[in-house]
Amino acid sequence: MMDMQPTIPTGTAPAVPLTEAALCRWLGAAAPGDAITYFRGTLARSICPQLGLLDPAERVALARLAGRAWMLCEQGLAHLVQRRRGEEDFEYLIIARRRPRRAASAILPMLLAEAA
Amino acid sequence: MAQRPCFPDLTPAYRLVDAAAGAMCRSLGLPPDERDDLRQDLLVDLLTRLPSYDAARGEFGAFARVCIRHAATRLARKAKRDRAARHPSGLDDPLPGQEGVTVGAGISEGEGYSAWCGQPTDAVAALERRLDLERAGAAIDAGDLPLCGALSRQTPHELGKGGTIPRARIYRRITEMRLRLLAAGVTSAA
Repeated sequence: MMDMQPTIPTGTAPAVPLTEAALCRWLGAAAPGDAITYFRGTLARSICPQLGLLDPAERVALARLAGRAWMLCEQGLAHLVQRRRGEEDFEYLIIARRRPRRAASAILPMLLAEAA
Repeated sequence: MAQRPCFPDLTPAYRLVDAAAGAMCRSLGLPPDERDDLRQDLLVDLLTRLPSYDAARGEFGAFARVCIRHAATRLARKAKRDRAARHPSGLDDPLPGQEGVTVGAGISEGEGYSAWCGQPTDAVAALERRLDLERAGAAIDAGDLPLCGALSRQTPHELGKGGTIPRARIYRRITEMRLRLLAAGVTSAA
């Protein structure tokens, strides 16, 4: 069972908008409990194409970033947390989780089969 | 009815072949057990040329000598070619700069045969490599492992030309695998 922390850590906001690769790179090097703010504002409104709040390129990049964060959460590598800062102003935090215990190796049977 | 070929007495040829095989072994530095093989090759070459021997043009010994000389030259060239294609060294070769020490003496028993081929012999490094591979293998989706195997033998371009997987899908999966590896802490070596 995971250790629960009493407070949500304060995520460090990146100086420039994060990319998918930068988010993955950060998570790969992060210790359990480390947090980063990957977006500030209202995510659902910002990635909505009908509202047109962002340039198309920025909107696609943000949608990819949000999708990647969701995928990392589904893989059990991170928690996703929102912190309300004001009216329609949220911090979207991603918190690194402890690495899951390694499952049975998927590649070793292939290596052994190739060596045989 | 076909005329049966009249073969000459081969006794002089045996002596010539013996001498030529011995000379080749000495000049090429071949082990003694190669001598019988060389003798056999020279004799077979001579036998295949026997039908073209004409007794009216000269003695059989002279004919055999020329045939054996030519065959020996060809075999020697082939042996040199084969040797040049391999790395010409042995465990008994001396180590440069060290008097009386051979290559074999520089390899410990624990390192195994891999050390002789210049391969890494560090057991700890091998274990770490295996763990890295397992970590990477666990990060990659199982469905992508066949693609990884194919990419270890072919470039994405070649794989796409094969037509089994659309090129766009290959690059999409590569991007996805890179991101998954990054998230797992496995960074690119390049």
